[in-house]
Amino acid sequence: MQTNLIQRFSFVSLITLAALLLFSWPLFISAQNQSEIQFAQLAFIILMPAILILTITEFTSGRIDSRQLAMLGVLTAVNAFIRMLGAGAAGVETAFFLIIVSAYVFGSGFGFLMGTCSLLVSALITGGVGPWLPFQMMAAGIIGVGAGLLPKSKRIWLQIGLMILYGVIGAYVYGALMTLWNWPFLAGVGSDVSYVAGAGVVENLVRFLNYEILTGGLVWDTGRAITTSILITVTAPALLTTLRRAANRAGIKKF
Amino acid sequence: MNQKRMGNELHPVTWWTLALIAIATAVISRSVAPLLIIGIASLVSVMLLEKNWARSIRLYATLAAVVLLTRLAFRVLFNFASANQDIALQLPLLEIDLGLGNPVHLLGSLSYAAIDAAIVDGLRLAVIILAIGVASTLAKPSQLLKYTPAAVYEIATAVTIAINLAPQLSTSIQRVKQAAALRGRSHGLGAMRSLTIPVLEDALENSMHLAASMATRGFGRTGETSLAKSLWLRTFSLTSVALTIIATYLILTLGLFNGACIAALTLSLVFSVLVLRISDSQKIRTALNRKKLGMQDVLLLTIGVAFFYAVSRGWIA
Amino acid sequence: MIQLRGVSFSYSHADAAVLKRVNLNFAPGEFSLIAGATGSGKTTLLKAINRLVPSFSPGTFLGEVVINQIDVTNQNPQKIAELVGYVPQSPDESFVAQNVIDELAFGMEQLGIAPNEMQQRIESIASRVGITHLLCREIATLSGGEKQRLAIAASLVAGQRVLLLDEPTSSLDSTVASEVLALLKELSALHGITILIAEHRLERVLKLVDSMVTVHADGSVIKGPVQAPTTTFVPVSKNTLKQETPSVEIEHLSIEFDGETVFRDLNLKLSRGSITALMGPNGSGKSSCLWAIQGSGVRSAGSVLVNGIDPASLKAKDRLALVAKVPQRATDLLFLNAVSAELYESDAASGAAAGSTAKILESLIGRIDPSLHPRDLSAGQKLALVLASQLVKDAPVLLLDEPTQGLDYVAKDHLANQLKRLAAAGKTILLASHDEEFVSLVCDQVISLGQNAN
Repeated sequence: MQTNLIQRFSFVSLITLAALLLFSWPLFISAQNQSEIQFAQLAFIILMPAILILTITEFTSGRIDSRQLAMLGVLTAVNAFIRMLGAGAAGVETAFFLIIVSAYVFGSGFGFLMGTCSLLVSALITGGVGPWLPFQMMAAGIIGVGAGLLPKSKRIWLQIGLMILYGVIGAYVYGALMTLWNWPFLAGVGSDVSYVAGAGVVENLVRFLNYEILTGGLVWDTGRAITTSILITVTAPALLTTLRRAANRAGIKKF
Repeated sequence: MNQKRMGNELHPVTWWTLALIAIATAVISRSVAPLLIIGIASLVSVMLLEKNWARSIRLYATLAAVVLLTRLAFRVLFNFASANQDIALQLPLLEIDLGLGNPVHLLGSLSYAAIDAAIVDGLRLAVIILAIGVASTLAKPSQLLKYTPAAVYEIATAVTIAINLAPQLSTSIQRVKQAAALRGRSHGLGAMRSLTIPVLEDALENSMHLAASMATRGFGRTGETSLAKSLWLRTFSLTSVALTIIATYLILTLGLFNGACIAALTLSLVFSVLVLRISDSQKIRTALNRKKLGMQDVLLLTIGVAFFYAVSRGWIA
Repeated sequence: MIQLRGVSFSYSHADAAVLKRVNLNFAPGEFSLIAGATGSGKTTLLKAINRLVPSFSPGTFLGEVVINQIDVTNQNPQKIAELVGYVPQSPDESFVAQNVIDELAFGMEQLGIAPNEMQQRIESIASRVGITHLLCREIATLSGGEKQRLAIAASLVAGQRVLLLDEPTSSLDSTVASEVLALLKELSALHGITILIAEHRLERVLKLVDSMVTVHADGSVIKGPVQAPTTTFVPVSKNTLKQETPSVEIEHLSIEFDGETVFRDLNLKLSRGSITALMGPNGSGKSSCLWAIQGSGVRSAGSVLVNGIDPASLKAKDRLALVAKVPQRATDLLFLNAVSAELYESDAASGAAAGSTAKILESLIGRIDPSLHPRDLSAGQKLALVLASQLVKDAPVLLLDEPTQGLDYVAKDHLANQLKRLAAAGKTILLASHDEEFVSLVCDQVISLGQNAN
């Protein structure tokens, strides 16, 4: 059990590290291979799904039973549906609160799967499948893993407060990750807000922040943070009871 | 619902592989010609094979156009250095300082070369989007779930459940909404709860019925995983992820065509495949009606690969 | 074929044992009815056989279960899937795939049956169950009866010799229900499949089964010869309508959805203090009719007057004082964590004095522990809770949609008395139902929908 936990922990940290690298490569790329960046992009677009599949295998293969799976399917459906309702208005992102709350109840493995599946299913339903999808799935999965690791408190208001705080941070992190993904594609190379190969992390981070602000990314992130925290505030007390009750009744374990 | 596809006898995996090849080609091409070829080929195949092609591809086409325009707009908005180049458009140069490091230059001069570059970059993204759009129109991603490797079978099942269930939720919400009005409080946060909780409770209750039904039909009947096997699995996945990190780091510092880099990339993919293989081998599952790759699939894939090779050698420019 | 030896079970969330030292024996090909009040443990008994209890419902299990001479006591459900087929209460919730053929293949795929063998088995089970013509259809487009057949086929397709069904006819109208039951009889008589069916609407099943098992509230289970329940129904003569000014007047009411007529030109007068039943097959528009009367449903033509006022002309909130309604799924109205919270909410929402709903609830069904979660109540208690929260608004008219669904004989008897008392107190009651026994027990008047529909 102990070794299992250690393995799980090291796996999750490695995955997170790999994923973050695949998102943030423009910050780190060195000067000499400006010419190969196109190829590098291709490599990253292929590596991300590979890592995603590995992670999903780690979390599901032989470790998930039909109850957890059905719960996952149903909550994902609910989330995809809610996401469709919220789509359209700028910055309104209604998918995150359910990921966070269910990850908090069912654990970080569930959180990862819930994050990835929610975005996958809503893309499949609305037709939003694109090269960004694996990246979105991974970003949402990471948010889910984090929510599952939040400390458990005895007081319900503290639990909800924690989730709200996490929701706000998560909303900005998700936004930053996705902007990082489209940054090299949309800003190209050569302007004051493009990344410069070999310029160093700090320099590139500043350029990225400028890009994020000037293209309005922060507005969207703020919208996402506000919707997520409102939804958690309103629904979490009831959701926690409902989900925990369901889990106890069917004997669903955290994973 | 699925009957409207005509004459599309290709294997769904073929379509998605073709889309991947198209993306790879788009990523490496540096001129308009190959991109246009991919774009036109995508559109033509949808128009030939899908009856309602206009409706199915509209979303992707719009998205592609938006991306192309955004890319162009960013080219104009953000100043790109254009020394020694023919200037197409001279706009006043603005300077904005957000207090973060160097000030950002906006507008200013726009060179023909910059417009060219923006069109190629924008078109590249647009073509990638279009290629995926075509694949998901001609071979619905939900069909693809049948061909997922056994290692991700569980998650594919969860996704299938979710896709089947999501449309039913809207009827469920309608029903609860109408019913909730009978309680007499139809405003504020209470209304939100009176809607979501019954819907969710129902959904959760249903999920447990579903789980029971799946289990009684044998779902989750993996062969016993031996301790050694699961240890190997863990080790291989860890190795694969670690190799990915190393490969990424090497790409970033040494470049993609460095020997060490290619070795690390290949090894990480090999280990991923090993992981999938091992977890496949523990399962006893079979599948009904899995199509096999046919002659025409192989032919098309060969053409795709040849096209990629031609573009990578710069024969089509 | 099936043997239970000294089986006892209690859920971890409740103290009392649901099953107590149960000893049962079923011969191959036996068709047996499992009867008992709701909540008495019929479902638990079925699940103990296919091992969903205790592996999916935490609790304490004692005893032994043997199927086909194999001791399965320590197995989980997926390990014995090829021995026992199971059709849960509403088949809609048990489907995994999108279309019929994939659904049939699902179980066999899990068991690792070779693809060409699968194809053969699907064809043979489809013709046996009578769904060959449906193989290419999507599940969402099937009717209730077709879904039930599919669920039966899916749980026998891998060659299972035992079939457990949990209330397979509860959501079907009577013609379709009889067809499904006839199919089951055929499966057991001709193909030797051992069938256990849990039901609480016994009238149709009794003449088909070979034996009957009764699950009692104290957890004891007794197998005996087939015997009709002792309750006797005295049909009310249909012409005892009170000659008074009608409190509900419906004229030329028609309903259509998306251009399709559900029913047309319904004329109906309900007098004060009467109980009227609205009957008809599934899809004949019973529910839509109730919603149209309530005022929030669509009407394509016609008028509805309740005490001279059209409820549709009122605001949603004001309607509640005129017409009370209990929808088909009573639980749609319950969203709080405790019975006490629901009662409080009900008083507050209707502006009644604190404790009024609780008082009505007590008069309906006796005391309920206010700290219980509403979802943990029995079907009868849930219905009573929702009924109380609607009655507290003191509307002169009460509409009920399929109120007897999920209720056993005792709870139904109870409901019948409640409704009669309410009618005597001057309420006008209209209920949609396909439960003929119940309707003949309480209603003064029966309106049939679906005959004049076209």
